[in-house]
Amino acid sequence: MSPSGTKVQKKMLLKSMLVALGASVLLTACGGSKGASKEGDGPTPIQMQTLNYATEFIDNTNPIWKEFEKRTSTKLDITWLSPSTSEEKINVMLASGDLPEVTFVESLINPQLQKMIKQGVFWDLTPYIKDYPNLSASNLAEMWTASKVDGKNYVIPRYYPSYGGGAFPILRKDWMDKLGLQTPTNMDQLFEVLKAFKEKDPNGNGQADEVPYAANPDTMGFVYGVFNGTQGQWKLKDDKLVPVITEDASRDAVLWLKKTFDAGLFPKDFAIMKYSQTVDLIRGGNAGGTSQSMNHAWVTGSKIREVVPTADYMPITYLENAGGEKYTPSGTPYYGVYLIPKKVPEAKVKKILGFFDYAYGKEGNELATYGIEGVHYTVQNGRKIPTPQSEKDHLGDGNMNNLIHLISDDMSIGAVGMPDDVYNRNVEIVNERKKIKTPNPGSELYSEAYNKYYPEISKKVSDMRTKVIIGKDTIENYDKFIEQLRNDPTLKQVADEMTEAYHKKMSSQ
Amino acid sequence: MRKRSSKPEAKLREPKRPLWPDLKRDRYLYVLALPGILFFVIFKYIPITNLVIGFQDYSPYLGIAGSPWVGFEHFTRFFSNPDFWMLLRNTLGISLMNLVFFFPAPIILALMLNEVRHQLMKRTVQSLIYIPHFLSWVLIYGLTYLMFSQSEGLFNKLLTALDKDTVDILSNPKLFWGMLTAQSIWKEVGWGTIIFLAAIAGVDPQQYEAAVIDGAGRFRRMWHITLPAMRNVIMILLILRLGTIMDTGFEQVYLMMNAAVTEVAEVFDTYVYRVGIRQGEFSYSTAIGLFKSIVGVILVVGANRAAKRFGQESLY
Amino acid sequence: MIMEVNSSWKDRLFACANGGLLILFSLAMVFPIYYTIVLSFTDSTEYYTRDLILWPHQWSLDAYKYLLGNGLFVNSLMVSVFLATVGTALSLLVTGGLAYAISCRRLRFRKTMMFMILLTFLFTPGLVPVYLIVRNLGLIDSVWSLILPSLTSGWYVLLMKGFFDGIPDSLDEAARIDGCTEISVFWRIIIPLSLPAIVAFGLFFAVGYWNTYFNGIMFINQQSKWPLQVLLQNMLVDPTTMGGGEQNVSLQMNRQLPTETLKMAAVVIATIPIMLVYPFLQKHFATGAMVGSVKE
Repeated sequence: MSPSGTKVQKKMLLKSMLVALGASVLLTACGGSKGASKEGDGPTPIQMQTLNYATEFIDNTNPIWKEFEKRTSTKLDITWLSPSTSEEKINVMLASGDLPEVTFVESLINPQLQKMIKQGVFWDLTPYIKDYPNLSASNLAEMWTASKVDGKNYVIPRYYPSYGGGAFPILRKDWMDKLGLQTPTNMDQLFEVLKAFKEKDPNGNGQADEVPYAANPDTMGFVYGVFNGTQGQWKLKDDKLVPVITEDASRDAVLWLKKTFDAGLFPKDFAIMKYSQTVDLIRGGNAGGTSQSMNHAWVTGSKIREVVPTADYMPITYLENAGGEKYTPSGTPYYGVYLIPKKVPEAKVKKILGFFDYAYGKEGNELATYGIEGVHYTVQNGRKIPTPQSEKDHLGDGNMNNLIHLISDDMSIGAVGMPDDVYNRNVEIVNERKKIKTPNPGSELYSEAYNKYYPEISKKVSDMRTKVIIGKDTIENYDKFIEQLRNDPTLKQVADEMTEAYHKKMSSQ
Repeated sequence: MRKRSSKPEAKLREPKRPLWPDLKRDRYLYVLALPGILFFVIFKYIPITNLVIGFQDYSPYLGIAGSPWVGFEHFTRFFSNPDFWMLLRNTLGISLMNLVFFFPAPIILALMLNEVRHQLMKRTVQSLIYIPHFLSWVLIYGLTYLMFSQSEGLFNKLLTALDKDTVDILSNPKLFWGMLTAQSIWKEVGWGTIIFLAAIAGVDPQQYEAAVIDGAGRFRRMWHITLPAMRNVIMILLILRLGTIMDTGFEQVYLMMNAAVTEVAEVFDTYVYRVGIRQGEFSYSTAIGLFKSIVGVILVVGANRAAKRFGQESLY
Repeated sequence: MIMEVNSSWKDRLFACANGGLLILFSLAMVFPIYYTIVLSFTDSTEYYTRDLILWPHQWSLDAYKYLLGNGLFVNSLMVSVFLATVGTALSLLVTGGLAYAISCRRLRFRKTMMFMILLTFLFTPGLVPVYLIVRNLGLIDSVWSLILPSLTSGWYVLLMKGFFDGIPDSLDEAARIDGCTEISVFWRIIIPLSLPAIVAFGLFFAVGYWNTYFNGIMFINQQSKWPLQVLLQNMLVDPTTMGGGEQNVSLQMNRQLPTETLKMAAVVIATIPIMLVYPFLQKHFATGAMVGSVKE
């Protein structure tokens, strides 16, 4: 891809740099070169790349890494991506065609990725999966179905539980108990609970300094979901997908949010706050609730328990709308996908699948998260107790368990150091949530027009909503704007393409 | 022979001379220039050829050679976007505010610093005002929030204490451009003085002494001695600044933007970020980048001509 | 120093107003910095529960212990220092050489070169082609990938040329009559004469290298070669600040968002070393650098 003549200039550059600028010792000291690994009969070398949330990345000297290589007879070359910039980096790698043998992409809906899959850049893994017992095990079946593109499995999804994640209200259980309030199950009750937080002084300091709900526009998406009785941006009506943004139920959602804002139950700076600032409000100890995933209900609250030990944020189970439709957040049972480019020979594709098969099995799965029994953990009463060695080898907070997620609800409801009672309550809540199936017809659907036009439309709508909520614009203007959108040919085109994609997906499953 | 370039007569065309003796005579100069030239060729010109993807429907898999050509399709899409005029208005508005208020600020500050006789004070002030340059925009966003937000802001707390109503600053479309300019000045004005102070440092103190003896007042000395010493630098910076009039400092605008101010805050850079980078439309975003560059080239060439005509320092 | 022959009341008034304004100005600049430093030493619980902290009740070194306790810290510091020294030296050489060459009016192809440099200033190539070049040069995971692609820019070259243009031609002519070659004129006359400018540019480059972040993310995969800014950012992962939103919220695994005090400490650690360079360079901005050589 580099233009001709680059080679000559390359040489010239290197020479002139060496001669004119002086080759310092540091050049050799700091300019590392990778030794190319030879392919032979021994362990298969595999290049991989994935996101890593750990603060310290492990390398091939780490015992877990070595253990994986030993047990799968591979030689791993893993490039860790820092989450703060992974999006840019992955896009640049995709755009440059510089793909490792196992390429990680955070979202299947990445437009660049969709184009490349259609152009045949990646292996179709459909015919191979059935040969691997762990990968084709029944508990993972849903994950494989949901991640199909045009009816084929191009990706190895990275498991993530369907339930437990997603931004949904978490409320101060200790405050509700103190004020004798029930856990809300619909929007009116939620409003009343927040109102009581504001007016009845649950923190007992005599001042009305409580922030009933630490909200910003991004974290309130669930309100639209509840009113519409559906998840995501699309609603199924008469076998067609219609955009949620133009539904009347969304208008009701805006009005509910406006009512709540006007009653002073959101921070005054609702419109300008970033997510991290809502978390800061929680840490300040005076917030009655916010929108968070289940494990974060506990993690986010950890700072304030140092001051208020009784502070207890409880995730609520569901909220229902006037039509009695229950809403709880859920998603596809994976987060992030791995792909194998066609440049990898078939024999190696099988080896790579073999690696994942091991890692998705019980033994490999536990190795990635807990390490080696007897070295990194001991089993007492059926629970795995980590040893000091566990921390030394950087287990737990990332690394190998970011490459291979633990196949368990613990991914979204558990956290390091979470006490048993909180964990057990989370298990109960998540089991209740699992009984609720809120439809999400637009999930993992892709269309060209959607990618090209929808984000702009959606941004305008959300700006309009926010302006109405904080009183910078009127509901009449909102109505006018939505009426315009309903007649907008571009949005119609997007909806048509999405409906088509939906039917295609349905028929292929 | 080197000539002071500000003299108009220096622009006499040299007669045609054989090439080789000249090249040979100046071989050391070429050697000095070589690493820089190589840098520009390798890290600028070779990558710049990739800008042709603005006329393609680029796909990494097919590469530049294989991607289909679409002519001006991306440009047409961009110009026919109903938001185009809003983006242009906001971009130019913010840039002009910067040009009028932010650009002269370090010059004035440098002049003020130059008039300080007390050396210790001068140095202290100098070392303090350049610190904000090191703070990232994310942090400055945080500090701005801390100072001016309605619920937590120090400024509004002060107003409340004085029994006045709180003022909405951060989500007020009328104040948005002014706030951006003020932030830029706060962050970069001290840092900006460095280059002007370096220029002033070249002034021969005897000139000042002579002027004092001639009875020139403080402002006349500033006008006739200090400012001319900075002229080269000011002109170059001004012309270059015009070339980047379509850039507005993406990070700052993106962080400060909120739903209430999008009407005045959406600029080309934020649009490109959303459309080009997050949605992965490389060709489209490249086309927008090309449009910005071409506007920049026209402005720079024009400004340079004008500067030459008025006998000022010019770029080339 | 300039002698004040007629130090009238007008002058004194001016000096007072001028000084007063500057002091006010400095205060406006300093307060947030002061605040940042204080917060970095504040106990994080206190930060979240108190309204405004001008002086912490409880001093805490926790944030610093956490950041400096990272095993990679010293490594990254070394990388950043290497960049700020070697990188700056190389940048000055490359920029200065090119700027000096194109400031010589008799040089053939001078205008072509200048226009070409100007164009690179206006047309910015995308990230992808630059990434490919760096990869094809075999620089991925080498510290040189953090230096070579950012050696100089059109802005620096043209601005430095502006400084060289300001040097009276009588000086280098005199030198040439003494039998100096171009190179020795450059070394012995031009460089010393433009010292204030060179110091200023050196500072620009050093700060630029010190703040190396994006290239570090793009070109360096091995953590042991990360520059300081990349390391600190990774420790403060907050994917929601720039976009992100709902989806990320649920998926940050078990890692907490960094506390505000931690962020402040990171700012202090990341900026103090490079900030300390300035006072040492300051004397070179003093007037009169040129006078001596004119008299000789």
